[in-house]
Amino acid sequence: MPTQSYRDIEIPSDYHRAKEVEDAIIDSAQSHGYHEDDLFALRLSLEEALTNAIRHGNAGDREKKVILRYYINENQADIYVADEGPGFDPTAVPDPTITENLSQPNGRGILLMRAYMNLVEYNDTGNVVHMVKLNSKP
Amino acid sequence: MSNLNLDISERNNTIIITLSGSADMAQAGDLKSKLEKTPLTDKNVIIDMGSLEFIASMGLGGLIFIHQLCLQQKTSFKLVNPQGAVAKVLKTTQLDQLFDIYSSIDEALAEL
Repeated sequence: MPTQSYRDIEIPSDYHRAKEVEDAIIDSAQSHGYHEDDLFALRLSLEEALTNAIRHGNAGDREKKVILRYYINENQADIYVADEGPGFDPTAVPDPTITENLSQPNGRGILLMRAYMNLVEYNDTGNVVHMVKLNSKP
Repeated sequence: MSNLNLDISERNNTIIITLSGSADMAQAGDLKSKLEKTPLTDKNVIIDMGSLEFIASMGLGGLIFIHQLCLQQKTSFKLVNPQGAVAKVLKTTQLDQLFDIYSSIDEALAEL
């Protein structure tokens, strides 16, 4: 079985640069024939992971980097998003769907990633998220 | 996916904001500045989402900001016609339970 090689991309904490990378990954998934629903799920989860890395992990500091490591083939998209922040405990994030939290402006990123991806896991520090999306029509 | 566009009009003391395109992280700053320039004081707000193709947490935060503003000033906030994947995001986050959602602008106006 051939070894799948990852691509590494490093960007500053900048939403427009992050969007360019997001678009490139979606284009790659599209070229591999991913279903429209899978493309939406990938875009949404990348958006949440990158937003969390820039806004919460790196606290918007443009000097701090966001590092993406990913591969996409006809079966799955495998993506790591890392930031240079101190990390966090994802199990300590309040449930945004309970009534008293519904009006909170933030805190839905992890919920959305977990709802739309096949795998979402964090490293022990909490500054690297690993996500996998299976192509539903390989 | 296309850029976010906002079309803003007013009917019956109600600001109607029609969103189209993608409410993504690259557009969020632009969205926020346009909303801040929109005079919403003492106005009801209807957001027409029928042509919105994408929304994520940052865009949802913008909706919640206006919803809270309307609550504080005791006016109404209503969403209209979220489609497909955008409607699914609202359902997944259970914001479909927080917001009043209608199928048309006329229906939303009739409930004010």
